[in-house]
Amino acid sequence: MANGLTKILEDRLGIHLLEYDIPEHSNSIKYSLGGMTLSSFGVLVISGILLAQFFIPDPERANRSLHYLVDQVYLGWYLRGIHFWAGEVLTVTMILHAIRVFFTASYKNPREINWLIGIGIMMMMVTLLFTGTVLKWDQEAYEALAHFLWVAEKMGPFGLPLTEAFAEGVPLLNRIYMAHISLLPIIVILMIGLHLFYIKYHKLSQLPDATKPAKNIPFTQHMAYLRRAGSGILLLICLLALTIAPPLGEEPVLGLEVTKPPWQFVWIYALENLWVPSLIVAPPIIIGFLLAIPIVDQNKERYWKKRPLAITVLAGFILIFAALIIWGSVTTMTHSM
Amino acid sequence: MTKYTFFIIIFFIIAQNAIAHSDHKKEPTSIVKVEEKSSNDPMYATQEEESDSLENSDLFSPSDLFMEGEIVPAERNMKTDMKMEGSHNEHDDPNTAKVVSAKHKTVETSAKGYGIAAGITFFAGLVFAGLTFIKPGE
Repeated sequence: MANGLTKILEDRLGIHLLEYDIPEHSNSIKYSLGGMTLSSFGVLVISGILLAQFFIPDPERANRSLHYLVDQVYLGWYLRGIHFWAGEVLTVTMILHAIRVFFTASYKNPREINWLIGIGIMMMMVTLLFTGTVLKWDQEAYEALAHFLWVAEKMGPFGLPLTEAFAEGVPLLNRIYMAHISLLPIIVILMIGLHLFYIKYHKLSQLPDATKPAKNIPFTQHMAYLRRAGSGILLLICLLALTIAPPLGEEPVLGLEVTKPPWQFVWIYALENLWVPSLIVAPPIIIGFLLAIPIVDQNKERYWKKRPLAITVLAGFILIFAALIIWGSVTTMTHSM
Repeated sequence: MTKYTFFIIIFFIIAQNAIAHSDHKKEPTSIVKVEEKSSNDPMYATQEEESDSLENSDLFSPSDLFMEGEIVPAERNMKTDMKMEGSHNEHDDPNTAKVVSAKHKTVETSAKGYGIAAGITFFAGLVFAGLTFIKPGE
């Protein structure tokens, strides 16, 4: 019966075309972090569609509409919690996925293109995180946007489309909302599609220390593992949403700087405290560095013990970011915009 | 074993961060002079000119979008909105405001639909447990 149904689906929908050889080691947590990130993104899309039914993207009402959702709408607090925690979990699994790819040198020939697409997806996710932070329109959101506008202004004509001057009379919050629910998700979905296509095209990488090709498992077996990993991620998100409510302040007080950004951005807060122009300089340097990795690193060796320089760079990168996040969390801003 | 450990570690990393944020007691409660929200502030830009032009236009009628009785004069509507939540009226003096940094809070069991939310979470746990122990298709 089940086999008959599968055959009907295969014949009609061509699902079997998705199949490709999967190495056995892919059914492990470290090789499923991308799938877990995709699961979180799915949760974000679904919960985001539901949240959009209650959100008013107007500066005068945005914050109040969220308070109304959380306080008055049945399960509204849970819905917002799920959306928030899915974003947090996505950030963690996405970073771990990038670290795993670097550690196992899976970005090397012929998979350079997928590393570049992955960095592009990461940038889009960070932008989605930022726009999501602004939409709640509390003090933290207002200050985040103020810093962003300062950077956009310094970028001159390149930053113009990101400022209010580009569409005078239209509240910036409306445009940020459009980007958050429409433009950015569409770009991310297209890039994820491309990412998956190149995974299928180049196949999943072999273990770095393998002396011979790994035994392959059926595609459906890997999908079953990813389904389990995805359900674990969903459970984690639900547990966090059930226990810890995400922060939501009152409407912002203009011209004031008292909050700190979310932990994903607090490293740049720390850098800004050292040297204000780092707000403009640091992101392109980091993005350029990440994009350059597969181009600069032409060493064919993939096993980590034989790549001391690369592993040192990775460890240094992690340590610097961890230190900046910790320092940004405890330090106090010494200047204002 | 490592599979469960992984999820537990992620849970604690995220939860620890949330708790760390909630301990930001150094964040001052600031009492400051406030600039009044102005339609000239870019972030609060309003479409005053546009709405005027629409009102004067024959192309649109308020009744095109609303049922009869739903149309409320803009001024009155704004006043109603301002009174929607008591917490937003606490800044009676427009020149003085209290800014409290938003923090993570523990969800109270009295939250609307908490039982259903707990049920949904429990169901998600059941699905994960089922897939972990039965491992269909793996």
